[in-house]
Amino acid sequence: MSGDHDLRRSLGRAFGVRRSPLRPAGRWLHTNLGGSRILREELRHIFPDSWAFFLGEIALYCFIILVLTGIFLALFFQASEAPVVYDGPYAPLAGAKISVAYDSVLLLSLDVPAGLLVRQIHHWSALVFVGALIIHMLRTFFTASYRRPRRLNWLLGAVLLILVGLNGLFGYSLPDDLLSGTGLRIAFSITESIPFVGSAMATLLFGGEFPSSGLIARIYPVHIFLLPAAIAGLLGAHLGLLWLQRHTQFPGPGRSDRTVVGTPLVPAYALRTLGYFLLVFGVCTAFAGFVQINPVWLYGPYRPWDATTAAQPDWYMGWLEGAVRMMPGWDIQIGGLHIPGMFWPAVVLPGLVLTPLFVLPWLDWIVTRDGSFHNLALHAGQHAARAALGAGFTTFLSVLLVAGGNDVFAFVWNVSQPRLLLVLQIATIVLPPVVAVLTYLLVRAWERRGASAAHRPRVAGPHEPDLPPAGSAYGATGD
Amino acid sequence: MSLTTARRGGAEQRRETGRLARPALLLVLLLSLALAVALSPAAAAASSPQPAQPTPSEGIEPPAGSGSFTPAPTPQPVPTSTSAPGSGERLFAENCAGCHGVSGEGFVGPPLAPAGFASLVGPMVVDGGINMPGFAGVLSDAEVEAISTYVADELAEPESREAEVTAGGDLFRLYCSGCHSSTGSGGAMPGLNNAPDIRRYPPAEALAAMILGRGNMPSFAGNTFDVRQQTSVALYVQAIHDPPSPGGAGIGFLGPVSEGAVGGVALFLLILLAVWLAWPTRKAVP
Repeated sequence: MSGDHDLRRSLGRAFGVRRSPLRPAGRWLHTNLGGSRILREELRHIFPDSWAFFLGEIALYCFIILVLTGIFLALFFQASEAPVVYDGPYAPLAGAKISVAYDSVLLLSLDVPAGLLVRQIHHWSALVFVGALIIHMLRTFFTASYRRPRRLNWLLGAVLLILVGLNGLFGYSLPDDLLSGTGLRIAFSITESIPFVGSAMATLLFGGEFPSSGLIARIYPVHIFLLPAAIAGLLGAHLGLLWLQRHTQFPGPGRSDRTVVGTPLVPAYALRTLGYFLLVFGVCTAFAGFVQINPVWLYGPYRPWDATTAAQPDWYMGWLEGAVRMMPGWDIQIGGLHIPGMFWPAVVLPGLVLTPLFVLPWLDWIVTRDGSFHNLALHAGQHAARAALGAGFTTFLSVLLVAGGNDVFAFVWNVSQPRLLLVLQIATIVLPPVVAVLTYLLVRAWERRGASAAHRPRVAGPHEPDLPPAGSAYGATGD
Repeated sequence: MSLTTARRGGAEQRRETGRLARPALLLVLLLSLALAVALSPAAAAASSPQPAQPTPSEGIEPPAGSGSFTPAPTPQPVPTSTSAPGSGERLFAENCAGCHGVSGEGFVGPPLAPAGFASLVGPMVVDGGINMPGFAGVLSDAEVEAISTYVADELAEPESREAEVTAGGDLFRLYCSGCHSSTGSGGAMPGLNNAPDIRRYPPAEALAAMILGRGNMPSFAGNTFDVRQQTSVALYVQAIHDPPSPGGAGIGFLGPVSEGAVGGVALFLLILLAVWLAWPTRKAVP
């Protein structure tokens, strides 16, 4: 059978031995399932080489770490607000009346062997996760890799970003410490601020007026089951599409919209990515081992009447916090309709910021009228307008993020908090256009310099690869 | 048919060989990471759950010989005539019992049974309280220490201290953390009058600020905190003065802002590692 023969040869070559130890396995697979031809091809799936293509992998591996550590945490966490008297080892809370949820987190952190380490791995990898998602998304944007045929995959990524951010917020809310309760209080107010449906929605989602009993029991299944399942499903689809469409690559010798140059899955890429997984796990574990995160025992239990400064959400929600802090209170009363000031920065603004993410590939098409297939990514400096827009947008969100921590920054830098807030308010409006224009000018200058260099022939003939005959998977140009 | 087959045998083949150095380095890196974590504070905290026992701060000398808060023997409230003149017992009877009662049961002044008072006695005696005069010019340092020791050893009930600290924590989060933060790390206020990091001050000074007010901070004595509550809060401040940090570096106890910054460092490190992993190998097999 030639298929069997091919498989054997391919595996043998992959592992650098003439008689592959996998030979019986390959034979078994072929004779029982067939499809060795597909297997042979897929084992040689080519992944283009660039550090920029690892960014999504950081996110993927953080998700795996979160699931693994989350399973451990779920063995100890108890989602209940029932009161209990603390009798654990943390003396400053001895005899305090706290919730079962908070008690279980204290037990997990201070009593359970390795509990604190695992909890800290979970939290650090969550912070890295969202950061990796955003950097991955920025890379995709600046290299215009969201264009056809990857428009759907961009959309999946945008949905994933929202779900992951939401699930982070829910995880932050579970321990029932002072910070998590404060966060939930704000979430309740935001929901309530939506005109017409707000109070009904808040009642439905929170199970009554805040602080409602049983809220943690509501959030818990969403945090550990519903959203992770949705994220896993979408992530699977995202990776499936990536596999089918293959990864974009940067232009270079031998690379074209129809030809991928890179590393085959087996053995080099598989080993490399496995190593990278272990590195991500290792870095998250190292940070968890050496840097304390979210010391809930110090924050104390949540009680609705308590308040603390430096009450921030985890960083990826910081831009929303900053918007709420900077927005002047536009409390509007039109007849019977009351729109609280919270509505503008916490509902309208996120809508304005996130909607473009979902329609970006189609917006791009409307502007550029380029609906053809692109398997070559652009270098970030190849399109001044796109780079300028992205830089402006990122600057805007970064200023909001800084404003989210304005009290901490004012304290640490020893500057006046109201003055810092004013500076940030001005920066929110002024800085993004300035950065956008500067980026545009810089990229244009870079383009002009690059254009003159490009006239000189670079790597010529001998390196030119054999192109496959036209009509391969992505040979046709669309529209 | 597919892109893979198109390039099979082409340029990508060159990438497969000459890569043993990197996996080996990777392995070394991973092993050292694992070793580092095994030796890290969080792992240590996990393997031997060390209760976060608040340590007496450097600001307040634990009464000498009292062993801090070791359970005292049964209180012997009535001074015996055999005591040497100038002993803590005698000094207490002469200077303190008039307001605090012969056995520290409280009268005009607050009861001294909560053991926490013992740790605050020295500074209080020297500086005075709301109605209590300072004894700085009246008693020598040695005499103040003798009184502190006597209160700690003979009058204090150590077992009541924990409850005092916990109650102080509740009050702290209600009245203090809005400006000083729940970790006591301080916070920004309008103008430049920031609420300071309370851990920079000895608890007795925190107590004085709480009673008298300082800068923008109002006095919490009288209507807000009674004497016992003041003491509880001061004890809680003492408990978090050197906050237990079993999870590793405290990064300023500034909450999610500093955590976000450190998370950024972790991400940057991972990107550097990605650059390293994707670095083209020079050795190409034709």
